[in-house]
Amino acid sequence: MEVTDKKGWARELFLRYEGRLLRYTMKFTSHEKASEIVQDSFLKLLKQDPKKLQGKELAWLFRVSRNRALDLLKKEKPMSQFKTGQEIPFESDNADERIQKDEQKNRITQMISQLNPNQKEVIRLKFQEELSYKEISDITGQSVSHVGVIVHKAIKKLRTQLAEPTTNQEGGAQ
Amino acid sequence: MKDLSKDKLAAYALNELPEQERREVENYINENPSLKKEVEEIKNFGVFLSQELKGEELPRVTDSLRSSLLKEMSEQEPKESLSLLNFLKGSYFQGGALVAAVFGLLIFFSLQQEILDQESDGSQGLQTGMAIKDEAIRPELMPGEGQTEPKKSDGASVVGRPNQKAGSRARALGKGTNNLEVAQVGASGAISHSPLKRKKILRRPVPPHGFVGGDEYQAFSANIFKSTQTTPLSTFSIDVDTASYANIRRYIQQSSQLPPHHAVRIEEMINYFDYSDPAPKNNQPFKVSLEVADSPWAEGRQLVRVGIKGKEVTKKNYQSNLVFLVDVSGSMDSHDKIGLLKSGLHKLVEKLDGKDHVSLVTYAGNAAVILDATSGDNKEQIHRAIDNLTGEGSTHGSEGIKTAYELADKNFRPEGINRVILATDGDFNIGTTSDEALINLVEEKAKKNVFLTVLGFGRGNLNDSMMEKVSNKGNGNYFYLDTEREAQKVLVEKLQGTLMTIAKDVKIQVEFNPENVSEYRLIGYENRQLKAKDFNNDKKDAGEIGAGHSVVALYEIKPTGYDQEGVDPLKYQKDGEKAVQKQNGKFSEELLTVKVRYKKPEGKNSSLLKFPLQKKSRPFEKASADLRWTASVAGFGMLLKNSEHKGDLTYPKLIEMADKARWSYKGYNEYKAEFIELIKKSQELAK
Repeated sequence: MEVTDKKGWARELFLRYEGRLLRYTMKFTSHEKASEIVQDSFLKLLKQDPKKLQGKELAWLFRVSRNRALDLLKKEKPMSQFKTGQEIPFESDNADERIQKDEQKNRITQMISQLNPNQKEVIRLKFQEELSYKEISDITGQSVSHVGVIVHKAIKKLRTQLAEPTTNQEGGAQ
Repeated sequence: MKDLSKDKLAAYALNELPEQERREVENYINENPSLKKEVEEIKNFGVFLSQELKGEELPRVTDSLRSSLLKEMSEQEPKESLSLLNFLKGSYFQGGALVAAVFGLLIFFSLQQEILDQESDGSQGLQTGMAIKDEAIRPELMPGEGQTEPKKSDGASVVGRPNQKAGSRARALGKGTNNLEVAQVGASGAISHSPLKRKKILRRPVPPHGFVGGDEYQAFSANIFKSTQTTPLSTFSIDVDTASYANIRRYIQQSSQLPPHHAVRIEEMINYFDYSDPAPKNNQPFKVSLEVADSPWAEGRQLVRVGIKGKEVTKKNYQSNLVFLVDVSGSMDSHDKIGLLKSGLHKLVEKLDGKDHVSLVTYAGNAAVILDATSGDNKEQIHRAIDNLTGEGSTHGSEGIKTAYELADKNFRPEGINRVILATDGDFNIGTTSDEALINLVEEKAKKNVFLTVLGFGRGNLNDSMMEKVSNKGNGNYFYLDTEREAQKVLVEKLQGTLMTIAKDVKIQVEFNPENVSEYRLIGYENRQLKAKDFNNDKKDAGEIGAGHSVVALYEIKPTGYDQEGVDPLKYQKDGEKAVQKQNGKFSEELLTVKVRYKKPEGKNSSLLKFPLQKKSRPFEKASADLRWTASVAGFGMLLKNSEHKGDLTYPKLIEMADKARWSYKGYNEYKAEFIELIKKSQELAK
């Protein structure tokens, strides 16, 4: 029942999750900073008990990276407050600019970028990373039922928009 | 239940409710059928969202951080204090290091642990100081969201890459618009993507010597119990393919349906996993491990596990000459094709060193040499070349494969690996002449020890059977890369096995001792059956085994003494029985003998190895984790096929069995965790 090669274990997890973890972390900050955060998380992982994390490795990495990212952001902008469930700077930097720049960007991604940050994050965790409500709850600190509410609302919004005949970039989400 | 909140309905549709609640909601929906449509829509919308979002390119950690981190995680299991020293030396800590110096290593370690446990308190346990640490850090635009402008800075070495990435992303996104239309169609009806792919996979040709015969689409029937007296020999070719498992996974996970029976090839499921069978010590290319234990699903029966482990080849042993031949035709231009290939290749490059040489040839309008035999030390250059791959233009690959082989010949390493790796979605017209000419070319080159590996991508026009045929002729293997993770497995984790063939035409023949075994049944390998006489026929082609590969076969046997259900006593075989006894009990302790024939990769004549197994069976619980895991996978296959041989096996029993077997092996294995999830989901689907 024991992991004998802890480094091998961490390495396996790194090779497997690097991309996903970084993709998520980059929603908070730059590629460079996100890379550091991801590296940090894996150094922390090396100190964990693999047995305790069994089955929760990915969620753990996401949570640790997320907390770290938010910490750093707090330091950069001491004024900003983002507690659990409140406005987090997820996918927020110059979002509109990017949308215009990326005109080819597909419609669904555009629509997601117009959700509120909390919804954006939960939608990405749920559907991009295919995590369960429980895992999302562990990562973001919101209750499972709250995660359920967010998912429902976001889906509703997205489906309504998708049903509209043309892309309405300004619509809805502000 | 009086009222159903909408978010609960969504949770139900997304399969997020605990069992109790799920049933309540289900009942409610049954009473209010109008909700069914909504549930279906949410479900489909979820699948659609996942499809859209999962394709978003996966970034990589900046190179310098990446290599230092990988280094940190690569040493072979040093003592903890030692690794801590490395940590300190590497100045990963700043504030923490001082503390450590004062309190001593152990105290530091536990303190550190505490700090780590409060990840969010902002204290400086692991300050990310290393960001500014060294000059090697290069600003690099990665293709995720949340990025600002690419920072222009230091030197030529970066120039090509970021922009290329950004460019390829824009293309991928452009493609995404099309995907949307397709997926929308899917969203209103069935989930759109699977059927095509399914068809392709099922079209995998039956080998000419297979016993199935007939139509390619035809389902095969499971091996039945055979009498040891009438048929004492069981002969088959090894098979390291794992496509069936990936296919089953896709059915269950993505389409939420159980796979059709004939899509389940148990040997491919079994061989998807790693086992801890010992590697050969001497010069043999592989070692065979045998074990017998009581069957967990049928009283009185036993399971015999045959584990073949290919020689591990350490990196330092050989040089390699790899020529990637990449189809860059328009049809490859999508994130699950060229995108997946590129990210896979980037990872592969990280595993190379100065002994490896990589060339890159593309074909579309023209064949072009993008990179000519560049040393694996020269990573940046290779990465850049990979980034330059784009899917555009029409396929006209007549020169591609010739150019690739020319490069391979030019850089031939007599003692090393020489391989052309063709990456395509099969939408190719790889020669001006016929398929036959192509196969001849590949075959001829294989004789000169330049082997061919085929990496298949995408769905739709994947020419599955052609690709398998070509790779078989080229003494290579054929992989279907459907996800980032599969690419990771084939190109990174199993790289050695993928590239290095250690034995070819590997055939197995098991002779059962009628004294101890009355009937036997090979689980799986239905498509790989050989005639008994083919075993010694060196002209008969069979499977290849790569470095470090595991190939496992599982037999279920009925020991003598148990009734042979409904079989009349044999009229003519009494002498046969006596003949056995005439051995004066010499082999009376033996259950069976496994014989393996193989050729060296460059050889023409086969060698023979024999391994007898004693009859001493153990209770299932006492068997090795490998046997128990193999049995779990086979058991899952039998449940999926609703096999008549499944005995008293049920889903709950299987889950327990697999769960017990998964951890005693080398430690954490995500594939095994995923497998158990698959069983659980199938249990739900089977209800």
